[in-house]
Amino acid sequence: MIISKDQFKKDYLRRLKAKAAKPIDETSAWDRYHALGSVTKDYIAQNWVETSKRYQNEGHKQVYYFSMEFLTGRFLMNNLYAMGLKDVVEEVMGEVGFDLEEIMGIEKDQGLGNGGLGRLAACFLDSMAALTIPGHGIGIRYNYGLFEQKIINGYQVEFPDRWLENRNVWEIKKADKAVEVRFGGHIRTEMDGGRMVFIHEHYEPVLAVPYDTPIVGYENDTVNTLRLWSAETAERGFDYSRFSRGEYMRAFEQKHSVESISQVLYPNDSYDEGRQLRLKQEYFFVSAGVQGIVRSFKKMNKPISQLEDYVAIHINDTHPALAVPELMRILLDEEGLDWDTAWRITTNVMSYTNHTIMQEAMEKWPVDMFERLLPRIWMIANEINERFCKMLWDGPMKGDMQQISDIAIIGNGQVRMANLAIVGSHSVNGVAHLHTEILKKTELKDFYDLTPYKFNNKTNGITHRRWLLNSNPDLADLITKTIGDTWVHQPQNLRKILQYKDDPDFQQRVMAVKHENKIKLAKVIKERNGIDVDPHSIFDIHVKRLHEYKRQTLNVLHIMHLYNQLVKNPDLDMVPRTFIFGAKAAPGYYMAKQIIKLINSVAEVVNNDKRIRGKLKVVFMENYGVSLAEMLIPAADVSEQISTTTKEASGTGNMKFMMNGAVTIATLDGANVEILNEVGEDNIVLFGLTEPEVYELYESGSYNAMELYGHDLRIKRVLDQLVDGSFGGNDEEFRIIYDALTKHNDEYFVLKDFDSYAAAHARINQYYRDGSLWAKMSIMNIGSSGIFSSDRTIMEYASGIWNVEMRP
Amino acid sequence: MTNYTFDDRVLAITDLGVTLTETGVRFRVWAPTTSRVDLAIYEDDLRYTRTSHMMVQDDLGVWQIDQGPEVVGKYYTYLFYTDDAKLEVVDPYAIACGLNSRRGMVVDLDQTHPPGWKTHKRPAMNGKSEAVLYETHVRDFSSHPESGMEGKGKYLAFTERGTRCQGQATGIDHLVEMGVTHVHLLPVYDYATVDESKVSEYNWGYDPFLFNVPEGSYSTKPSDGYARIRELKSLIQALHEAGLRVVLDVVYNHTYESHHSNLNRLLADFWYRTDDQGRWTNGSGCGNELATEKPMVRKFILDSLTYWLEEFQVDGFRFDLMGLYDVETVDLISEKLHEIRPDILLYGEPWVGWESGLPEADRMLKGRQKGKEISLFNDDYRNAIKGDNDGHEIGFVQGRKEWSKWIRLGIAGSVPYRKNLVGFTCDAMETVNYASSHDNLVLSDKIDKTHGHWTLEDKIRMNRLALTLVLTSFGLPFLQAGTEFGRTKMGHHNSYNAGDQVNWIDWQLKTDHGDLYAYIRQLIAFRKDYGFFAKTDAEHIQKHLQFKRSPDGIIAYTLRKKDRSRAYIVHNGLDQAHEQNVPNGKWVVIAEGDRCLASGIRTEVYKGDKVTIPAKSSLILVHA
Repeated sequence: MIISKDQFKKDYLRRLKAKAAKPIDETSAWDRYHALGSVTKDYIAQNWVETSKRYQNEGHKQVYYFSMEFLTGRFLMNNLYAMGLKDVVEEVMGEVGFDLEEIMGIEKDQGLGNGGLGRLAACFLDSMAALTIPGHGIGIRYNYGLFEQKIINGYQVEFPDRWLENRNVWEIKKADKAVEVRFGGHIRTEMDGGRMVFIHEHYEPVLAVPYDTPIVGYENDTVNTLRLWSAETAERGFDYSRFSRGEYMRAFEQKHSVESISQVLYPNDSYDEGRQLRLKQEYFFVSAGVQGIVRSFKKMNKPISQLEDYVAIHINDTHPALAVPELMRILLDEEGLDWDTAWRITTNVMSYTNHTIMQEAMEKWPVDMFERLLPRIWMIANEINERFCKMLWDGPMKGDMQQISDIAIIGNGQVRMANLAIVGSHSVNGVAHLHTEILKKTELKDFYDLTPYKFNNKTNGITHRRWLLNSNPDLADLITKTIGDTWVHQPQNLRKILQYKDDPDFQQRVMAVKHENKIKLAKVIKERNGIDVDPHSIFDIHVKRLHEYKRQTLNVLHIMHLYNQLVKNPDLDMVPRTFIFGAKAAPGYYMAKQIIKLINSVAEVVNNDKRIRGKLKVVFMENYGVSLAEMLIPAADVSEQISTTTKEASGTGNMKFMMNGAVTIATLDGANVEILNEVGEDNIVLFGLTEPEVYELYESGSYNAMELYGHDLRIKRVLDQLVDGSFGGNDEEFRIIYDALTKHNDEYFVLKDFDSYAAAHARINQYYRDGSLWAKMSIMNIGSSGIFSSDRTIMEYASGIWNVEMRP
Repeated sequence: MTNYTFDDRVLAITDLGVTLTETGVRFRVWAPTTSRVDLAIYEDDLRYTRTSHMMVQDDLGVWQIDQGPEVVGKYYTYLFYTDDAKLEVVDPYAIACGLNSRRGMVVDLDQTHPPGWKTHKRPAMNGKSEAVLYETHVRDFSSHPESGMEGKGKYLAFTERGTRCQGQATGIDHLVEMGVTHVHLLPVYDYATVDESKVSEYNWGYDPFLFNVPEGSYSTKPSDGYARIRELKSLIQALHEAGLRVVLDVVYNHTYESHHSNLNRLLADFWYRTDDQGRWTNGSGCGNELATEKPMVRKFILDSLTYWLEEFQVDGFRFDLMGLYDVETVDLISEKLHEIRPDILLYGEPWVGWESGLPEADRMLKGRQKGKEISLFNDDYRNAIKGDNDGHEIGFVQGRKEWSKWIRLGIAGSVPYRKNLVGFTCDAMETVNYASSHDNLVLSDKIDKTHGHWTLEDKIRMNRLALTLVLTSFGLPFLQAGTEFGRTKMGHHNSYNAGDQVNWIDWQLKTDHGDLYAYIRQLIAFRKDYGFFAKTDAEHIQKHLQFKRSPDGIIAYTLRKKDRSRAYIVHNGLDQAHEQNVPNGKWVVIAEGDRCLASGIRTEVYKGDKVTIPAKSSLILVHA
């Protein structure tokens, strides 16, 4: 669709006046944003309607990506780019004297996720739309996104993320598409014409109302849908009979209880709390989503037995695994299919991605809770389990009760979501080569041996449109000027810049863009943190969720070590470093929160010690999220991807950084392995234990952290400093970190990797001194990043798992 | 690795630092024990990318490398390899550097001259005794918002003419109007503590880093090694052209850094004094003291002074904590600098800051300057004038009668005046007479401390009397900038890093205390015009200065010249007026009460008259 400048200007100003009801020049940035969003959505709506119609008329197979999290960030700039409206809008804003950057700043991040998993889902939606694949997101419309993080006295303090406070201009409420989701109650069985029927009684009905957000394809007129479900009381409003009896509080009780389902996003790593609500959330959106899918399938007037030809459901991590029994329930109870047919359809429809081998993320539900809350689903899950175990007993695991109970869906009084997802899907994929191999060899070995054909790898990706084109426009322009713009549609063409990797002029231009981005970030750091940082120093950035396996601890201990060295020798030959952190810790994860406190305490000391001549600065930027990432990543020289090897499934931050020309300091973990393969050893800075070494240490049990404490004076020094008040606070403040690394034998090999991490940083120091070498490394990373576009990933999913085609 | 004793061969080492040769640039650094030194070259001052080049050591311990002419204008450091670390060291011999002295800079000195530099003339002077010293910090001089100067806090403020505050001359115009002869600048070598990228940071500068580089924070472009040299030269040239001479405050007694200093990297534990157990001594109170007595250290100091003298055409040096210099070094300094510039002024503080590792017998203390053409700050006279530095003790001007004797000795230039009045000099030029300097309470704050309850007028009178004593004594009169119009630092006694608001010279005071200023200005003119203090040897003073009988608290004296001309001066330090006999004859009244006029207020004929001298005032008569 092509909108002329005059057309846009007319539409926009008319809308602005109508919405704000005041003269144009008195409108606020908020008014201007809302009018702009709303006009843009109007333009989108035409394509949206047409896309839906086309999908339906032409009977394309639809992909439904079920995810507990969608970390989409802001939409405005993305949509303007995709609609080809960016230049027009910039021009018109210039003409009317509006500050577009300020206007864009009004939009709140749609932060409905914790980290990589939710961001991946968002990138996938973007790529599906860009590739004209009929693919939609299904999730929950949380009233509050992940908490807003503030740092007070160095501590993380959580505040509600009121992203919906000022309306969400992008969504459309589809009240007519609401469905009912049932919790609790009893199942009564009856015979009906020789067939057993299951009648759900005395349940608590919850109304699931969908809110649709357009996902705009890049310059292709395709608009897919992100459907987020919101929980409302089935009775609408409140219990009027109680109200009229004067029981005012109780009258609202049920309303609140129901609405709590879509109230808050669960932060990761705190599954012990509120488990029941979490299970409710999962079933809520899965049931609503599957019901909606079946309903719209049936509009096509095809027999239900053909569902598998028209629908693919993807289970993003274990959270939506109940899609398996829920689809079974609909096929059995509502569509009247027999078990075997229903099971065939279901498994052909379902596919599952495993995102982590961290045990804490392998969801398990207590049987009694599961049964009480989801009585019919429990019966079906039980039946799936029975049949699965019987199959094992009869065949591959004949007689091995122990092995069978290990991989059963229900065991030890728990329902195991991962096992349910694997058994109920035709495809199980890991998210990076190493991760998939670990799944096959170790974590899911029994399943792999049983059904090797189900297992495959789909290395994660990122949308280069948001992470390069939108967020680093100067670099994107430079690339386009150098090699043309085909890379925008075919990101692998980024490789073309590699021919200029030794060209001094191109090197200088790439570095100049980087430097400008660093200056911009330095300004933001000054504004937000009050810290002066030298844009010529190495910007070393470590942003991701705060977790022990991601080893922010290793980074901060190394900073303490650098600081100690600098105090000893302020003239140490070292390129000044600016270490930048951004991370949210799950509110219940005390260790993670103390690590944040440690980073801030170290920052306080280091940043204010004049002796070290400004060679070291530490910055913790609060409330890390998509928008902050868009500012940080283009300014990074060094990307910290230092998880304990085997623990990070893939990582996607690593890809974003390399695409923007940062050099990665990396363990051979997750997708870092693939990055190494792409850029070559000379263009990545590796350190740390390898996968076999990690497993060898696990198996032999020979690791002794105290030995390192005893032998490596650097390590002893920094550990002692944790508990001697060197970095402020009382001696106990960081005891928990100290104990984890010593008494509890350093589960994540922080100390084990310390020496090689320090050596890697020393190499970075050396490389950076050579301006041409560093520029070349940076260009190698940018040019090799095309393969990490989520377009590539999505094409692999489309052909390898979902069996859908691009539909231009 | 201690007690390096180097034979005289090391003294023959030349061209340390950076030298432009016929074919390029030569880098030389003396680091005899280091195993490897690389030269690092940076394209600019800010980026950390660089190239590095291995240097080669000769048998005297000098590391050397030649580079092409393209490195002129680039920045450099030395990389020192030690057992456990690689260190980046800024060349102590550097003559130019970038921002915050993180790197030396290669400059072609021929490109550092402001227009007219080569041909400009230093002002002529008949003799050192004409000197009236004026001590100021570069930044204080112009930083006040009402200073009328554009280049606030910068060298270039000293090049601005016609600047005014409330109609009164400020800046150079003020100095010319006032009639001082030498502008003594607090440190302008590169010092460590001020972040040159910020406008807000302040320090006096007694924290030396690169001894041969002008401080960058006073430059308009601290990153540009050329700019800081050129701008300091512009300052000097402008003062010279206005008839003023320039004295630089130098601090070769210690360095800001101790064990981490660039000098200590060249050769560990060599440049600094240690006690008999090898522990560093702290005679400066700043953690270290340079071992001036070691030939190589002495050479470094001499080379540095010679460089400033010849390249920057300065007219004198003020030595901080000269008690930490061994006498032999001071002899050599005086000898060598006078050879280059016979009328150079050299003076210093004859004391140490803390326990020094230099034996007492070797220190440059009062008395040891005799005959060396070195002058020393006269703390005894200073204390006699106004009491102790920061405490409640009072001196002559606040009415301390019993110290009149020390005032007389001070007036006599601290020479051996007579049997019971013997000072530390043999020539009055060896004493620097002063009432206050940058250290400690500024004069008016000191008076405020002891006499805070007095009226402002009376306090100003004491201020005036103190400066009058300084200006009517034999020796080198030294005035702290702004005291001529009652400068205050709000009671701050150690404002070395207290910032502009405390330290700046508030030029509005020149209007507020216009009478005080006019008096001092006329007094300076009197001193210069009549020549009563021009001859300064002990014999002359013994003969030509005669104290008259007067009660304690009153000082009365006549001054004669060879041509038989006479002056008669009375100072009343008492809290009340005093009637003083005046020698018979016809007198021109130069000063009385609150007035002073060098050309004479009026003429009086006295015949055994008594004249009333108001409290805290002076009478100055010149025989008609």
